[in-house]
Amino acid sequence: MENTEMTTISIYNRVLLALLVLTFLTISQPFLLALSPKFTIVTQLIISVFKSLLIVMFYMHLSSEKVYLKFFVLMALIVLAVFFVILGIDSYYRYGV
Amino acid sequence: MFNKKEIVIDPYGNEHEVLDYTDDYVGSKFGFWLFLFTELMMFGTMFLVFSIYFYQFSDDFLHHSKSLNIFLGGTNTVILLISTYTMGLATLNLKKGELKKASFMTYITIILAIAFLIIKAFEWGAEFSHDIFPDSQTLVSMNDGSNIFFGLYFTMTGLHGFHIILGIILMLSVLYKIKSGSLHPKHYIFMKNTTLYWDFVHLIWVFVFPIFYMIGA
Repeated sequence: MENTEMTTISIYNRVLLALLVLTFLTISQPFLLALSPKFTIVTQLIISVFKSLLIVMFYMHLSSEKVYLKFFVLMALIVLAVFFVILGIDSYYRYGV
Repeated sequence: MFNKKEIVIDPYGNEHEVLDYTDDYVGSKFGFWLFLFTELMMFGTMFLVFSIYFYQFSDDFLHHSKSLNIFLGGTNTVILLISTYTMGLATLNLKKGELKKASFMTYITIILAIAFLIIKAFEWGAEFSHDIFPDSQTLVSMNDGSNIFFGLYFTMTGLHGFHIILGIILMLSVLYKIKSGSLHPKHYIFMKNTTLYWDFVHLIWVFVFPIFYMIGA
């Protein structure tokens, strides 16, 4: 039990460090690497996805959860993606966005 | 008072008492994940609205993004990041039976959450001092793209701030429950769910920060 807890604290520390590095990259990216607005957004979102994966997998412990809960999270993301695609297409053709 | 019991019967007809009748850890956690999915849908819709209007009014969004304070937004990002760490440690301490450490870490998380709100209040105050807030004279006189950008900014950061306040209330409940003895190493689902909630609030900010502050940097 004690070893498991120590391992978890060790993982927490490493995830904290990784998140701090990624946050530094988020803030410094436009100053270190001047990109067009389109590529800035893509870069920023890629960093955010990595950060969110770390949070969900280790801080929210999804990596050690049972398969049904992982599947449930995946389904929620798929439903959200379907909303995005359908409403995005609808907006594009309805309002000529 | 009588003790309620839940009994399950196996295929051979033997009765077994369900020991976690009032402490359904798995059910409570799963129920909370379901709640988080509804939250994801709510914030997800806002991100979708942002994406559609960003595509339509890119120039206005990029222009007004430059006016937001990256230093304050970045500081808040780091504050929230560290607060999820301290909240996680609080849960680990509670599971190990170190109640004082768990309370201490929860107090630190609350202080960080309040710091986040104070910085956000300064940011909003700066916008207000420039007569930038929903339905203000200055904003109404601007074009649609500017109105939508600041409308989304105040709505999304405001809703996120409201979630921070709810998180503080939950953490205060955690402190009360630890003190009253209803949260302990064998019964900590409330603490676990509060930590999940706080991680989710952090998760939302991970996307809110770049789309408002960094796109025009």
